[in-house]
Amino acid sequence: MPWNDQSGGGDRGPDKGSGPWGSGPRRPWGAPPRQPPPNQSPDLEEILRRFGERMRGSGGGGFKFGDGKRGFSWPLIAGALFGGWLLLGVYMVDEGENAVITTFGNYSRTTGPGLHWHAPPPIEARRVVNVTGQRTREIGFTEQNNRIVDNPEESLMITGDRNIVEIHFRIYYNIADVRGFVFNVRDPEQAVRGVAESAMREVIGRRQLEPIITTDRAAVELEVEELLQQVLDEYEVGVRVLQVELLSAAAPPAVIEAFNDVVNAGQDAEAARNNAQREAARITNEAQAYRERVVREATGEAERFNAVYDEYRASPRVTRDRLYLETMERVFNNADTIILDQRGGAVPYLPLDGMIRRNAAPRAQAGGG
Amino acid sequence: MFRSPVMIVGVVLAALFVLSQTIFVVRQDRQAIVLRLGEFTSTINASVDAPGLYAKIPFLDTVVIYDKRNLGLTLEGQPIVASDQERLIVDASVRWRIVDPLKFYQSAQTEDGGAQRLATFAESAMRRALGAATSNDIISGRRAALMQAIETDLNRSAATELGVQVVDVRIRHADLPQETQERVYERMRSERQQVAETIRAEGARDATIIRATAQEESERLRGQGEGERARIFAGAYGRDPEFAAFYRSMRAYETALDAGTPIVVPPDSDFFRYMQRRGG
Repeated sequence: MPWNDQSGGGDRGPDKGSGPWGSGPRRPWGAPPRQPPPNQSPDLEEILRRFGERMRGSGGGGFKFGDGKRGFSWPLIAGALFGGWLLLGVYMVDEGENAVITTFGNYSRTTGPGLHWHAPPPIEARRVVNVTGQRTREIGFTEQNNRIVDNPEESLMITGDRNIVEIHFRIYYNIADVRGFVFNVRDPEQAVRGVAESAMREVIGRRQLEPIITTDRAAVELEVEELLQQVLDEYEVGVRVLQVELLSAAAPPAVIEAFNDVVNAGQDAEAARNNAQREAARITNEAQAYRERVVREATGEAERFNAVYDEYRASPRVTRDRLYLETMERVFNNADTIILDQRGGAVPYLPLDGMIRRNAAPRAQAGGG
Repeated sequence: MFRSPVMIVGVVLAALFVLSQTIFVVRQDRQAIVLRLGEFTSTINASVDAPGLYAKIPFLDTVVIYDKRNLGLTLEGQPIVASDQERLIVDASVRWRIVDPLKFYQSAQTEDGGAQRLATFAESAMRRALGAATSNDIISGRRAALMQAIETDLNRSAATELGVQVVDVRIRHADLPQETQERVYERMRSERQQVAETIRAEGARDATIIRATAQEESERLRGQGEGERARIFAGAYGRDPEFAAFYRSMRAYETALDAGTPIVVPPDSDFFRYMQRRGG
């Protein structure tokens, strides 16, 4: 809208594409604003009259007005207005911005940062656009008070293996060709966003769910970035994609529990393995201990036998009897020994039960060592 | 001449009005056709880049201005039945531009009207291309090729009819309908459950194997110990088996018979040998 684009903020509001005639005819030629309407109010008339009187003497071209008593310096007014009109063409371009100047709607030049002048409207118009500033777009979610609000309409995508994945991503871009950005595509920001979403869906559609949410995230970012840039170049929209950032790629909320359970299962399995290892270590060590013990005991016992045997060899008869008697002595001393004479022929009935019980009770108390 | 200020203002306004009816601007990103009493006379800034200031005969000529930029058109929620009978909901966006403003004027008059007609063309082109493809192709395999096919189709049909050029067709969503989506979730869930179950089972299996291996090792070690023990005893007792049996029996009596074990001993046993001799 070159006619009323004097604000210098042409890139801030989206260009709705209304033709120049939509708003043009109201002030098509930049008609001098506020042409003083004569005889409007007594005050104004008075001022003008005084002004005119003062001017009459010096200004040779003083134009007589009304009955001739009231004078007016038209060239001065016209000059002031003309000067003001010329000043409308002065504009500032900040660092990082570019201004696109059109002459009667025809592109004439792009100017960089600094103070500039273009022919005042409606001859020339400008559109100042921030080109180096990084622009971002969030897709799949919106941020409200630092909280991420999911937008399922955008975020849920179907993967190549017919699963559904929730994707949140952000694109960073700036403007490489301001002329293309201003003239080639209607609503370029919206176009960038639309293409980004479609590119992401295309890339996600080519891949499997598992890699997307685990190992392939960087590859997805890169592929989307390339595809996005390629399509935008086709549109000649003058946008340079700086980065595609995959913020989250996860299973959708409806199934997230099942996905988390897989992670839990891994932990459970690991825990079971660790427990088994622990037990295994105990079992093997016990066995090793057993082997050592048994061998050592046997060695000791063998040595004991050898020692006794050496003695036995020296005097077999004596040693043998002595061993026998000593052993029996200890055995009978501890045991409830009943001596039964079978030679009497009579098999006596003995209350064995009673005898044992009577003897066992005190023994059991004394025993234990 | 300028008798009254009202006259001046009136003349100026009239002049401005005539001027506004004569002079017009065609911007860099616009194109126009000029019609004289409804009859086409010329196009401006369409195929040849020539934006700028133009004049026409006031009141006789009318100017129709169109956008020259790349325009967007969105097709929302198109139900598509793929060749494998699977239903899909497809959203697409068509980027297009007016390249022949005269033809566009003749067939559509306004941009909105043209967009609407293009949408109709696009819908049927989409149905043709996607209806012949499998759902797998639409979702993943040949998405780019299908988009290209729709674009080519549109450039054949709509372009000649409407005087537009289709720059790009992009399938945004190609989703399953809501009820199918639920089933997809159910399947995803069961798949995950199966994976989780497998992982847990593997863990249990490994644990059992680890324990069993340890048991195996344990038995071997114990066996080694016992074997060694046997060897050692054989070495020692082998020197005199008869004495060894005697000696070992003596030790066994001592350890095997607990305190309080009732033992019935005949008086003629070896132990009482001398006792009897004295008594007999």
